[in-house]
Amino acid sequence: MFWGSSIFSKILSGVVILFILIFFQSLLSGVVTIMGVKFDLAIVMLVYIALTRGPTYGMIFGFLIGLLLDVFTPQTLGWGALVKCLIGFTVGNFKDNLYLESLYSKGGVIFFALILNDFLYYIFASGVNPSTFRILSHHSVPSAFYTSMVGMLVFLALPLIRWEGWGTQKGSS
Amino acid sequence: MRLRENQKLSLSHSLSPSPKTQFSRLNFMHRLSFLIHIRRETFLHLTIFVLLSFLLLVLPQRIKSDLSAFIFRFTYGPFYAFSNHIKELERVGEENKRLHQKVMELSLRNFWLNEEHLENQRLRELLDFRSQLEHKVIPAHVVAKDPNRRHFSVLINKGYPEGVRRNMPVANMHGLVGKIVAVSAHSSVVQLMIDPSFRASAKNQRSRVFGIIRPESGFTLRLDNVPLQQDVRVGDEVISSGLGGIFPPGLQIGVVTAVESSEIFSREDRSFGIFKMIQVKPSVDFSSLEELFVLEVMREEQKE
Repeated sequence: MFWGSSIFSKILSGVVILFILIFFQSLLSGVVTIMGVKFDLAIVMLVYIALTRGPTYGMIFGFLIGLLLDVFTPQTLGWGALVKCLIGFTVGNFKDNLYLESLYSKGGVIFFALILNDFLYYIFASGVNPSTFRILSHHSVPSAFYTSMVGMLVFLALPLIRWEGWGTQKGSS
Repeated sequence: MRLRENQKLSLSHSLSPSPKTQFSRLNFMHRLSFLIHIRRETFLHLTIFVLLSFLLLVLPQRIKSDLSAFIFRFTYGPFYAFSNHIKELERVGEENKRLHQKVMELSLRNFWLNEEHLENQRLRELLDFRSQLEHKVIPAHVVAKDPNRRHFSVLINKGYPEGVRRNMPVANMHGLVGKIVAVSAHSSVVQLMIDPSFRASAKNQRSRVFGIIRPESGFTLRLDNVPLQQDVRVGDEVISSGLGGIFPPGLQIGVVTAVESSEIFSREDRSFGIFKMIQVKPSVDFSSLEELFVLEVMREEQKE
């Protein structure tokens, strides 16, 4: 089990760093917005960790970060955790099964992850109706595109940082 | 023994498919490897987390709020307390100057208002008029926005000790903003009107037509359940109706920007031509919320 090993401490350190990033995103949300479209740093980090560390890390990380974000919408507490846990798991499985050397394909995975995240969220919040798809097409698609662009830059920059545990490729789940 | 094994081998060989079929099966198995490579342990972890998420989802709303407040206090709390402290220092300096001026102004006005209030009371007694609702206002500042991309909630700097409770309406000087969904020691979460799960009873101020206000895509709202024959026009003001017991009547919600009654539009929204499609522009700018008021709605029976 992961509880006794260093995996748990790595996840915790990852969550702390991501938590700081989220904090900065909430502070800079007005600055990084382009025509009302915002990027989602949490999804970028989730995809990065799931792709570099595999499905187990992805799902745990997704669950924890989803729970941290759910705190702001207590009426749906648990749904964000579930959605991000499933996304972490799904994307983590791409690690060894898809050709992801290309930066564009990683961008594609971020795009897919964000659309899936928003789709599941809106389905839960307001059910399946035309307005759900309207929100998806008007907000989620531009946001997913923007997040993919930012994500690709983050993916280029992160391996340059010698960050204990997360930057290395060895040892998947 | 060896003979039997050889027999088995020859039998299995004779039953094995052609090389072409074998290749296609291998290809299929390779495709399935996505599922096969997921270890039992990973599945166990996934099941645990999925069950844990569902457990959180089915918790009673009160426990969810308390749990959110608890997590908030130990994770975001210190960060927001620090940034809030810095912001507060800046704000206090500016506000101090402004308030000095205002105090002078208001103390003079207060004198006149006291006089008018007494006169008003006397007149009310004469008319035997009793107001149905009275609002105690708790002023608050927005200290953080929902870090999710969607910004469906904000955090304010007033909590339980200041008298904030769940389901209290929140407004600013432009109108209704939302309601309190979670309260902790010195902060509360406000669910904004643009949250997809937000609903409130509303009415058209001019024609007194009732409906349900709900968020549309982005920062717009929709007035639902208004029958086709009802009189609603572009430019009409939409206010809270007071039905439902959470929001007091008369709070500004927005202005009607579009009224569609065509059958096609209604059918698209599964209304089948029974209801009007009314788009409402909120009177509050949700992207720049700073100062809010939590309204403690006191009913007649509570006052007595």
